[in-house]
Amino acid sequence: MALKRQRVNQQAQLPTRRSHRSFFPYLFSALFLLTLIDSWRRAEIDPKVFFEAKGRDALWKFLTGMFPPDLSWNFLSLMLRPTLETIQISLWGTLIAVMIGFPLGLLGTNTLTVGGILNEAELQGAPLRRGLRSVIYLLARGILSLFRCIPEFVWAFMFVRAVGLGPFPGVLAIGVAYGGMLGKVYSEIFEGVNYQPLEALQSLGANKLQIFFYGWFPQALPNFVSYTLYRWECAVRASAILGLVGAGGLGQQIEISMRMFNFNEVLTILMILFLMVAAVDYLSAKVRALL
Amino acid sequence: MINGEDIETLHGKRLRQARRLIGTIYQQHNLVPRLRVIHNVLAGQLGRWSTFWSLSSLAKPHDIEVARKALSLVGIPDKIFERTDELSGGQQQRVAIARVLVQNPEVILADEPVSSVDPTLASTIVRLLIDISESTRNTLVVSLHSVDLALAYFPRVIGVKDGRAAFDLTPDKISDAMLEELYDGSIRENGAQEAASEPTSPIAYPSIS
Repeated sequence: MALKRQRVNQQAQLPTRRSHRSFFPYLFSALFLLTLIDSWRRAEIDPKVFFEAKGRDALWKFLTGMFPPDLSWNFLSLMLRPTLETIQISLWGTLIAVMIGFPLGLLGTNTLTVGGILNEAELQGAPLRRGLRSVIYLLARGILSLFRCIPEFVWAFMFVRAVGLGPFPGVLAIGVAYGGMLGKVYSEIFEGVNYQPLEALQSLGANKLQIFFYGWFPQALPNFVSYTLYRWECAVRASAILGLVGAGGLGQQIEISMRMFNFNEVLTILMILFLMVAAVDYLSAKVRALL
Repeated sequence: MINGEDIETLHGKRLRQARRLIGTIYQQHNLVPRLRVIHNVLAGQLGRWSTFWSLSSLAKPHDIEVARKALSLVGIPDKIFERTDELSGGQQQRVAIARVLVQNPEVILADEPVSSVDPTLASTIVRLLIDISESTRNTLVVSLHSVDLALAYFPRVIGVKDGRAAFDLTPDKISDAMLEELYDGSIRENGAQEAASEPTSPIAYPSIS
């Protein structure tokens, strides 16, 4: 009975709530719709080109040109080196990214550098020290933002200018751009741990670094490893793209084959890329299962 | 105040040294679940170890014998190389006590160390803490909700009500009437027992904020 009455009451209240509804949802829906329509026009989205004679022919040529893929031993053996190069770029790029992202991510972790319970006793009544720590924190976050807001493609372009063509600018581009991404996510992982064990370590006299390695890092390790491995997978794909601006690897081969209209070679390279990403994915799943 | 120094004004190294002298046992054991037992126990050494030394211990544990001895005292020497989150709740509380043993502080504060274990284990753990306090001649302060445990094992019991000490006596001088008054009228949780075991000369209770 009581339950029923409550429900009746709720129903009785509903109309009054409805009358409070403002016109904002309608306004924003209209604005959103207008934005979509305008963007369609300005982005020059035009599905018609697929059906016009010219577009249809180009598409047909590209698709038929891809089959059958060029699986001749001659071509495959030629691709061996760029494939290895792609993996090497991704490995070193990710390693440099970790070396950049880990320390900056640490300094950019609010609860480690400035805020939270672990800094309370240390920074209470010490405005100078608090200010200095805040500056370090903001600086680390600023550098990380800068590194990751410039796409790896643009970084590669700049590094090609700086150190010349080849795989090295690719390594640098991945290292810097991914360092920014890793650092940001690391700091979020570090902030998400359970703080009670850390307080316990602090209260028995451990310093910050000791607390980090005995309490913080072990808790964050699974997420840390799986995100790093995910970034490695992304780096394999990216190092293929970076070849397009002359930064070595499979990307350079894609570009050459595209230029020469050898679409069957393009398909082969895409297949190699697919296999590589699948292998990396499999490997990282195995590593994660170990943790 | 500890050893004549006001903890609230300390910073950095001296604050850490002062903290090392106070051992704490928590309601939830507050161990790091993914570490092996030995590292959680040896964490008691962190106040003495340099950063580098403590880091290298994570790769290859130093002071294995110290950890083994502490774990023997709490009755689980065979768990030394297991992962901490694979132990039962009572075993984890023992690991936490072993960590305090390794830390070897001057005062041990235990904040309801037995509220999450069953009664038999509760009295075992309380007795263990008292044994440690007696053999190391260190002060032990325990907060408990169980009146029976406090009266049965501790030489000095303080009844706390509304943030004030209602009485501060040896257990034989505490009457049922006093206990009734302690819990009277208020919700039971308001009353708590502070039990202290002080084999050494009285030390001012350290104030930690």
